[in-house]
Formats: sequence, structure tokens, C-alpha cells
Amino acid sequence: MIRLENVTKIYKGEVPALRNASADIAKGEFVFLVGASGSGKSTMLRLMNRAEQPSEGIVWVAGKDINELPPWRVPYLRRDIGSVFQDFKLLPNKTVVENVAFALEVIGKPSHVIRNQVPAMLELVGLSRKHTSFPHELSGGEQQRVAIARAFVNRPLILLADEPTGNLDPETSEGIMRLLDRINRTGTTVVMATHDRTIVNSMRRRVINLDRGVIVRDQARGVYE
Amino acid sequence: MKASYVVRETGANLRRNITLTVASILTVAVSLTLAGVGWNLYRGVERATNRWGEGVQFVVFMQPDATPDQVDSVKKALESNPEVRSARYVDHNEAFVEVKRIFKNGSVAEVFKTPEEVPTSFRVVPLTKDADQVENLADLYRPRAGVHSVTVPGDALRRFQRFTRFFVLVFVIVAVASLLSAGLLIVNTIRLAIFSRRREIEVMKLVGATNWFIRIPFMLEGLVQGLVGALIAWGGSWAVNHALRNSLLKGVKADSTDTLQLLITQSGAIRTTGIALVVIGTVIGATASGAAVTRFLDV
Repeated sequence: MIRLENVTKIYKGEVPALRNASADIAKGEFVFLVGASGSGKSTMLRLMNRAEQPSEGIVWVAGKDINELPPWRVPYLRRDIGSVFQDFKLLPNKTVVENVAFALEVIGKPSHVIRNQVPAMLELVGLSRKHTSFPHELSGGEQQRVAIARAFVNRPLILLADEPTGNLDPETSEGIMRLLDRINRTGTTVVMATHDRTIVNSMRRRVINLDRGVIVRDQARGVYE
Repeated sequence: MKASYVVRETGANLRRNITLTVASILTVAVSLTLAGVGWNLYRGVERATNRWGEGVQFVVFMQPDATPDQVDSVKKALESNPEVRSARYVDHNEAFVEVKRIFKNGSVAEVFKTPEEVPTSFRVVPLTKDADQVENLADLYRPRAGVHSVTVPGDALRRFQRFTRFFVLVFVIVAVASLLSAGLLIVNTIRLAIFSRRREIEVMKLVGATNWFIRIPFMLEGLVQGLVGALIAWGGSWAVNHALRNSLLKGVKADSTDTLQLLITQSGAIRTTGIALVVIGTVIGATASGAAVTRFLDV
């Protein structure tokens, strides 16, 4: 599903954020990217949805070299990739249901599809009763659920999560992880960057450990260390 | 892309930056009004001077006390001259009416108490349009008995044209400068709109909205500002023309061939100017917002 071939990323005039990284992530896998701040986790995620382009190497997604895509094709690539962030990136002036519907609306989905899929997705993330609330009226965990609903409402093949539990307490984080696990069971490939030792150790999924831009460990059913 | 989405988003953008939106629209309106009024005046002056230039080329004024024989002799000399296309005699009564009209309320009008005191004249149209040849032709009649003077309007006309062209040039420079500032103001308005919606744009990019889907509401925002400004300018240039007509043409018959009449642009031509203003306004709005979107919207 995702393959990195000897990928190096150097931001202008800085030390490499990622050095000669190679990894192969199969369809339906759940992968943790772990490592200290600045180890290259976020860069790796950003390379996977072409938010960045590699300085060297090739990034394959769903069988395509995504850096060969013409710019106008990039939005279509992103429709197959959901993204979740530590800071949720919800629109504060839109309600829960509007935030989720927005993702379908801006890719031109017809309104009957939006009317069907949005309530189903809110049901999945357990926020049906709060669909008319605004983000500031929700707890952090609830806000992250809205963000996940928005990322997943278009049923993408891949879900990229950059520290999705970074702002949440352990209990709430556990709920979010159960949700991501459930999404993963539908066949969606999940790649999650995290610092959270407890989560990684309890889930026992594949772990890719980065250290200063280098993959130092790639372990199936791994732990944080 | 759904039309309802585009209308809603464009409307929201326009409302969100209402003060800048109004500023942009007014700047476009003022600059295009200047351009429109300048253009209408330019056209009017061209029409008036053309009529004058193609019509009477020089005027032979008779002495007020010239005898009918003298008048007749000049008339014959004009009509027999192969260089003269036509010569029309303006008698005392007609000249008196004209003087009263042109110099109404003026001291000149008070000099002439009766039609007999006003000099009669011949309005002569020569075949040639060359200013020097017209001058030579006019010289033939200066020494004739009963002739008071011969006026060749060429020089005065050329000075008048130069004068108005200078003003039109000033109009054009001011209009272009203010149009440029209108364009820059629109660029800035769109820039602010993009900035105030940066979170939304970020999310749109993340979920795979196409670049045009993101761009179009912003581009339409600038286009609407240009268009509305131009429509106001259309009204403005019409109003200025209307006011000119009312003040200049008071008491002048509508079918008059008076030079003043020619200065005023007729409603058909106002419509043409208006449509041109709308096209210019729309193009400026679209270009400015296109530039802003290209420069500040990283899609």
C-alpha cells in the first residue's frame, strides 16, 4: 500500500530530516512510527500524502510514484488518504455535523450521499448526540473523534495520524485508540506517529523506530522500548 | 462544483471583509467614473469639433450697415468661386437670435438692441480641408466692400482641441492611476480573505478539494467587486452626463444642431461606455484576484 524507497528529505539548508529510509507497509496494516521529537516521524507522514516531496528516493502509494503525479492529481490522491492531527484542525465556526460534512462537500459529493454518510460516521465515533455542538463545546477526546470522523467519512484506503493522542489524557487516549483499531479492522491501513509508550506497548503492532532521521528498528508486534 | 456552494462561499467572503470590500468597490467605482466621464467628454469634443471642421470653415462677417448690393456682390463672388462648396447667408434676424443665445445674460448681448445692429454673415464651406488653403481663400474676401471681417476658426479650433485633449490626458492618467490602486486594493482584500480562511483552506487541501474548487470563490470575490464598482461607475457617468445636459442645454431645442448639443453624449453612447466600463471593471477584478490567488494561495 505504501512503500518508501531510500527516501531522504532535507529541508532548506538544514540537516536531513529523513535519511535513506525504506519501508513497506501492506494494505490493512497498523503501523506505529516512534522516536523522539525531531526524529522524522512527521516528515515521514507528510511524504506519504505529498505534503512534502522527498529530496531523494521514491514514495509509492497504492502502486503509484506519488511524486510523479502532476499537481492537479494530488487532491485525488488525498481523497484516498485521511489525516488526523494532534491539534484536531477542526473549523471553529462549524458544528460537529458541518465539520464532517465539509470534507464531503468540498470534494463535490452529492447532498444525499452527505446526508447518509455523515450520521453513520458520527454513530461510529460515538458523537451522534452532539452533532449540533461546536468544537469549543466539546472535550479534547470528543474533538479528536470529530476529526477522525472527518478523516474517515470518505472511506479512504489509508489513515495517517500524527500524534492523535498527544493532547489527551490516558483514558481518553485509550478510547481514541479503540476507534483507530476499529477503523483498521475495516481494512484501512493506519500509520500513526506517537510518543505514547503505553499505547504502543499495549497494542503490540508493527513499530518503526526513527532516530535523527534514520530507521533504527522495524519490528512486527513491537514495543516502544 | 455546485453553484450553491460557490454563491454561498463568495457571499460569505464578501461579508467577512465588508470594510475592505466596500473600499475596493468604491475605488473601482470612482476610477471608472472618471474614465467614463473623460471618455464621454472626449467623444463629445471630437464630435463637436468634427461638425465644426466639416461644416463651416470660415465666416465672412458683413458690416452692419452693408448695402444689399454689397451683400449680393459678396454672395455672387462666393458662389462663383470653384473652391467654395457652399455659402449660407445668415440674415439679421437669425444672427440676432444666435447672439442672444450664445451670449445670454452677457454684456455682448446688451450691445445689440435690435436685429439690424447685428452683423450678417456668410457661413462658407470650402472644398479643401487644408488650413493654409482655407486661410488663402478667406483672404480673398477680406478686402471686399461691405465686409467687416473674415474669421477662420482653424486656429481657435486647434487650440480648443489641444486644450481638451490635455484635459482628457489628465483624466486618463488619473483614471489609470486610480484603477491601478483599485486593483492593488482588490489584491489586498483577497489576500486578507485567504488569510482569514487559512484553516479552512488547509482542511480543504487535506481532504482533497481540487485547486480550482479552493480558488474559485476567491476569484469570484474580486470579480464581483470589480463588477459592482463598474455598475456604480456606469450610473455615475450617466449622472454626470445628465447633469451636464441639464445645465448646458437648458432652453436649447433637442433637435438643434447646436455645437453644445454635440458635446453631450446621447444615451445610446452612454450605454456603450457603460458596457465598456463593466468589461474593464470585471477584467480588473478578475485579474487582481487571480494575481492574489496565485501569489498567496498555495494550491
